[in-house]
Amino acid sequence: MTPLLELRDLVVAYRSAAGVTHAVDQVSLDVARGETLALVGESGSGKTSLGRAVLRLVPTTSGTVRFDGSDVLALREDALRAFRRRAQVVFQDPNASLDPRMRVGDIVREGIEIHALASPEQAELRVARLLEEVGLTPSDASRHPHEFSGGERQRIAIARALAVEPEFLVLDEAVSALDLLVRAQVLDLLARLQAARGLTYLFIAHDLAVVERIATRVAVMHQGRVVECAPTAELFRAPQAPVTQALLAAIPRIDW
Amino acid sequence: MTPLLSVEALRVDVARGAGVRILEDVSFSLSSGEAVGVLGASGSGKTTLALAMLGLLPPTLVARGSVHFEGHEVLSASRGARRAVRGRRCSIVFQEPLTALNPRMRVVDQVAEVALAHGERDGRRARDAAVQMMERVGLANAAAQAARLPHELSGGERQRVLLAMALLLEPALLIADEPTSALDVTVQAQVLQVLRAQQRERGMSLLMVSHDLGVLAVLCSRVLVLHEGRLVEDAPTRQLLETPAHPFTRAIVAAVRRMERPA
Repeated sequence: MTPLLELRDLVVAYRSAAGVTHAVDQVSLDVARGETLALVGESGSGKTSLGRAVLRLVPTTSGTVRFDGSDVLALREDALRAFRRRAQVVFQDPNASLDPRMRVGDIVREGIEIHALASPEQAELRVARLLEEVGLTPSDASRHPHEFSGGERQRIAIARALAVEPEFLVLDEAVSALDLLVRAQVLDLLARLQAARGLTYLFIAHDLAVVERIATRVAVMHQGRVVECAPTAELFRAPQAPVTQALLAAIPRIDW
Repeated sequence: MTPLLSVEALRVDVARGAGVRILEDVSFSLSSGEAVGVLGASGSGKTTLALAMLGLLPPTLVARGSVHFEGHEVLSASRGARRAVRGRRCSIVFQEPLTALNPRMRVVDQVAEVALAHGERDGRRARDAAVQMMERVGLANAAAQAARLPHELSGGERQRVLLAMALLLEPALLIADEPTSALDVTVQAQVLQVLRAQQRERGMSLLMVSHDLGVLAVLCSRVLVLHEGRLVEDAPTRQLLETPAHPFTRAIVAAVRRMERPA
């Protein structure tokens, strides 16, 4: 079976006064259907640029991105809109990604309307079900984002992403700003949703400790390149690249 | 021996919020040379607790009870008396190093300012000491970096500048409020190492506030657990990990165990 996502020799370069920076440098990766590929690296390693290039949120300099067999970089109009429905993103900071003036129900419903996926009555029902699915209640639809805690706001962002029935989610540091306990709960939620809906995740994080439980495979980025990519247990047991070894050694491990 | 820091029946309320209590009857003490962690979720009151130790609460909050540091009452002390202590005997570092620094001032001058505020008159000597401390806390190429503005440094470098500022006058107590949660894990490990070295070499006391039990376990011999404004547990770290007593602590310990040992 072909992978859901295939990257070949992907380059994202930014031009500035200081010259050209290769944020993503010749990256080739596959993400299989239903798996979670974790993309881990320090700040500036290129992981966020890679996640955004996959969604066509930043321009790609060269290389190819294929999603379900079609060339994402060549998509136009209707085909691009269809891709944007199938591939969604959840960002790190729900304070910045949720419009504070909108009610939660409208935030979650917006995508359903944009993609004309349901009648207004059906949309209402779908929003209520989504809120329950992410651990909130249907009555939360009439409240505003500021009335929720950080973890709850991230659940709203997840409900919004799921509203358009995507197959693929880019989770860009989606749990990094959360407390340890809330983080564990949101990771559980993501795992449950993945199993129930057959979702595929590209899970971006700066901390290897976070991905240990959720990732099928881990790709480690350093200076724009993928320096190592291996099944999670193998990478934790026998890290090959010095960067991976340093990231692993840095995890504050409790000596139980 | 009297403890270095002793907190008794500390209560903090929102000045005008009818009945909004942030901290409720918090008591604990910290000995000289001891490293104590404060574990809590966001909203548990842990930052308020850290600020109260230095008399840094905003005027919108009212504190009752007592905080004694080196035998002196902090909460009722005059601003001048608090200032004389802060930065010299007791310092604080925060999570966000960018907002804590003046964007238009060279970092060396900001670190040196601490010495100048506490009686050093020779600007050159203050700057030399600042550069030396920046080196000690592991700022690579400190002499050159010293002349830069905060935005020209990385997050990890900025946090080291703040640490240099906090440690410049070799305080007896350092209060660290999530000092590494905005940093990359490798940088976090280095910063934790600096804190541990300061603690071991100089016998500095540490009150470290975090939601991350892993970080606290690395540094602290004792952990206080703050839950919804109350201190629900105060135990040696080992005991807290092995037999957590309060349901909140048990949930945290279980979450950490599960995250570290995937099924």
